Parts: sequence; C-alpha cells; structure tokens
Amino acid sequence: MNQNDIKSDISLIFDQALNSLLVGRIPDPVKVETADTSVLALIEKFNSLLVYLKELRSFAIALADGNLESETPSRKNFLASPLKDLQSKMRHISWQASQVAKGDFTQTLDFMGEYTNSFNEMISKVSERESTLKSELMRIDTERDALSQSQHILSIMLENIPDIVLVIKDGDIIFENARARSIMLQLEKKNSTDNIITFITSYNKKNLNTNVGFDYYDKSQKRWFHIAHSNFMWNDDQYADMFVIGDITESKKIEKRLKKDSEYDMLTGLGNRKHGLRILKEALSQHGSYPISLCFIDLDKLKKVNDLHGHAAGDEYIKEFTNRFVKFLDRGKLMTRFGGDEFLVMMRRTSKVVAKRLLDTIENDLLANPSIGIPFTPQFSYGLLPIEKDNTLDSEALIEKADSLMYSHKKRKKSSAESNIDPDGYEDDRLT
Amino acid sequence: MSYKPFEWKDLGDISTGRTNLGPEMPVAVYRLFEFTTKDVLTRRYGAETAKEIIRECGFIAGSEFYKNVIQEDNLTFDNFISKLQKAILQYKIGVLRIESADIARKRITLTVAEDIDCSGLDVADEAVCNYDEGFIAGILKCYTGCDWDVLEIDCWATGDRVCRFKAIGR
Repeated sequence: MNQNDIKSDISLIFDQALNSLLVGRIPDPVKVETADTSVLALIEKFNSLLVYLKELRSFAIALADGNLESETPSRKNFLASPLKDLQSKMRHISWQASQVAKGDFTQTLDFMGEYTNSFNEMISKVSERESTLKSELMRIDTERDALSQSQHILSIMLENIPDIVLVIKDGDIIFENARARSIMLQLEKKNSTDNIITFITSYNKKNLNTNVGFDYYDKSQKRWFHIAHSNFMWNDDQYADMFVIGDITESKKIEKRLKKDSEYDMLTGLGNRKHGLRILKEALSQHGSYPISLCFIDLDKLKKVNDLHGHAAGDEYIKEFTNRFVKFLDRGKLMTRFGGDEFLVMMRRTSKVVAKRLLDTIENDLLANPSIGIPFTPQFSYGLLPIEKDNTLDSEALIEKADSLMYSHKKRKKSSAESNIDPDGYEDDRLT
Repeated sequence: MSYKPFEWKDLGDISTGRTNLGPEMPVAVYRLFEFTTKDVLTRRYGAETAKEIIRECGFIAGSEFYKNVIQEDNLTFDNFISKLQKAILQYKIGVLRIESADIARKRITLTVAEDIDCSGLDVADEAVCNYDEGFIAGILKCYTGCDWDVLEIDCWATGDRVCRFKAIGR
C-alpha cells in the first residue's frame, strides 16, 4: 500500500468517526496499523478526545438522571469542568433543600442565577410560614395547657363535690362522678328500683332540652334532693343532659323549722298572725259546703296583770288562758295568737250555734275552775262570725268584722258589770 | 526581636489607616503577595515544605477568622455553616457552598467558587489552594475542637470551575 492509499484509508476512518460523533454516537477508538509518527500522534489525541467525550456524555446523563454522586470525569478532562461546576451547584442545592427540610432556614443561595432569587424567596416564605405556625402552635399549646388544667380542676371538683353529677345521653349514663357511683352502688345493694337515679333516667327520657331546677323526695332513701337539669351541646352536633343533684334533706329540715319559727308564737306554741292569716286564706280558697266559724278573741285584763304583777305574770296569764282554751278544740279547730291579747280561732265544719256553745263551755270552765298561781282566772271577750258559702269578703275584712263583733261583746260585758266598777279604774281592758 | 504569635488585632485599625482608600484592594495585589511569597518559599525550602508553611499560615488565619468573625455562644452547626457562608462572602474570599455535611461522622464536602487564590489561573498539574486548606481546617478546628484534614480535590488550577474541598475530622 503506497502512502497515498494509507492517507486515503486514514481519512476514511476519521470521516466515519466524525460522522458518528455528529449523530451523537461516540465511536470506538481509531486504530491504524501503519502510519507515520505525526499521524499516530494525531490519532492518539483524537482517541483521547473520544475518551473525554465519552466521560462527558455519561457524566451528563448521570446528572440528567439526578445522580449527583456519579463518578466525575478525569482531572485532565477540562471539557467536563462546567458540568462538574453544575454538579457542585446541584449538590449544594440538594444539601440546602435537606437543611430546609429539617427546619434550617438560615441558608441562602448565592450567585446561582435564577435559582438564587426563587430559592431564597421560597426559604423566606417557608420561614415566615413556619414562624406563623410556631406562634399558632404556641398559642394552641398555651390554650391546651390551660384547658388541660381546667379539665383537671373540673375533674377534681366533680369527683369531690358532695353532689351527684350525672350526664345522660339517649337514656344512657355517659358520666357519673364518685358520689353518683357510691349512691348507685348502695341502691344496687338495696335492690331499689324507685330511687333518685331511676327517677332521673326516666325523667330524662320525657324532658329533653329543658333547663330546670326542682326538688325530689326519694322514698327509698327518705332523702330530699334538689335536681338542677341543663341541656348542653355534646360532640358538636348532639345534645346531652347534665343533672347536678344535691342532697337537701338537712336544708329541708332547717327550712321546715324556720317556717315553723316564723309562723308560730314562742310563748304559747300557737300559730301567730302570719300563720292564722295563711290558714284562713287556705280555708277560704277550699271553702266547700260545710260551715266555717271565725272567732276573734280578746283576753280580758292582760294590761292589768302586766301593770300590777309584771310582764312575766302577764305571760303566765296568757299561757294559762291558751292552754285551757285549746283543750276544748278538736280536729278542724285552730287557735292562733293574733297580737298581744288577741287571738283568732277558726273552726271548720262548725256552725255558729255549735261554735257559740263551745265558747260558752270554755267560758264556764274558766269560771268554774279558778286558776292557781296567777292573779286572775282568765276571761275573754269574743266576736263570732259565721263564714257563709257565698262569702265575698277577703280574710282581712272577715277578721275586721269579727274584731268589731268582739268589741261589741266586750261593751256588753262592760255594761252588765257597770255596777261593779273596778277600783283601779280599768274599765275596758281592750282600750287600755 | 522577640516572637509574638499573630493575633487578629495585629491587622491594625484599617478604617483609620485607610481613610480614603478603604479596607479593600484588588485581588491581584493579594495574589502578588501570595505567589511571590510562595515562590520564595519554594525556592528556599522546596515545594512540599512551601505548601506546608502556606497551609499552616492558612490554619492560623482560619483560627483567627473564626474567633473574631464567626464565634458566638451556643452556635448550632446549621447556624455555624450559615454564618460561615455569609462571612466568606462578606470578606470576598469566595462563594462557599456546602455539598454535604455530616457533623456526626465529621465528613464535610464544600466548594468555593470564585476563590480568591486560584480562580482564573492557568491550568496546571496540581491544586494550588493550600492556604484555603489550612484556612478551612483552622475554622473547623476552632468550632469542633478536633483536628481536621482538609484536602482540595478539585481546583480551578486543575481545570475545574470551582474549588472542592473534602474535610475529614480526626
């Protein structure tokens, strides 16, 4: 083969290799068996270029695939330096992203073209958002702590208050406090079916959406309870009923005693004016076909006893009178102390005639059996008023009328005793 | 003249001393000083010794830089890196970027683009940023308390566009 032929062959080989490169394919290294030194040097450089291009291509493909840890081209491959720079920046961005992912927003990108602004803006926004979220979380934590503390306090309160607390939903008890559990256990042992708990559960079925308070007497326990019922939202869209049940038995006793104290006269043990009026009003409101007689009584000579013998003797005088009077009062007849020496006697199912007879009997008894230990045997004046079925007068008017009759009676008694003037000048006890 | 170790304050009051010219100067002046010094050191002590001396200089500089520019109480690693990046940029040493950092395993790979020492140099056979190697090692030593081996694995001087350093704590 002459030199021209060899050159022609080499040209052909290079032409084929370059054509491969131009269509994106890295050809195999060029090999020639015979050539002069300069041609061999050229082929060696060309083959080195092919190696660099091959490295470059596979490095670029790895980067395109996101493989940032791929093997970098050899140091002598200067063509690869921009790609290595790119790899470095991508690794830096990747590291920055991982820093952001773990909450480090102090990182920023510098001098990386469009990435810099968009990345740093993203960090700024995310940081701002995180700051807002942290504030919100802190607020929620604070509220949750406060709520938890409140719940804790509420729980302690509910468990320790002496009241029974029940929360009922759809007839089922969904909450009960310690006191409720204790009562339920006691009732279960007694095998009681009619008690405060059964009452509450049955009451709850009939009385929904109400907020009331009322008293209930538990016969099985012989205890009074006050029940406060409130309906409240449960789980956002459903209602439940809460019952707070306090044992008010002792309060009831106290209330009864106070009521008695407020309506009864301490000296005589009789009802007082308030009691007399209330009983009279009740009798009038329930007035049936039976007769009622109202008697207004004035105890004679009380002032005289007080003045001559002192108020203690006056008190004994009053007590002697009332004790002896009430002995004659049977069921349906009630004596109350209306004032100092004034008394009101209400006699149900008693006609005027029967009432008059009774008063005469009492008067005669007093005269026939003088009292011992007090200056005078008690005597009295009275006004007897029958209350008819068609009565239209109210209690005050009836009492006024009976009082007027009593006054007339007293005057008559005074006239009949005119010849026997009291040496102390006490002509009319009522007026004096 | 007695020896006195270098301290940051030995840099003097630059703002007072350079009222008009200011604290900055062309990179070329810096490189003039660096490369001529390297030239003399290489001629006198050989290439390897010269590199060691320059690396040691960088280590002292990095330590003082950390103590006077970076250091603060309770500095987390993330905040340390962030602060370091900003400081390197502020002092126009280059653009520091972290490629990976595993402080638990004491492995950090970082790059410095537009490095003050080498960016724009002609391609040579070897990396030239020995001063940077020492500088980074000094900073890491001050922050972590342990020694670090810092090696430049890519350099502008070897044909790359950024300088890449691999730091491994001992």
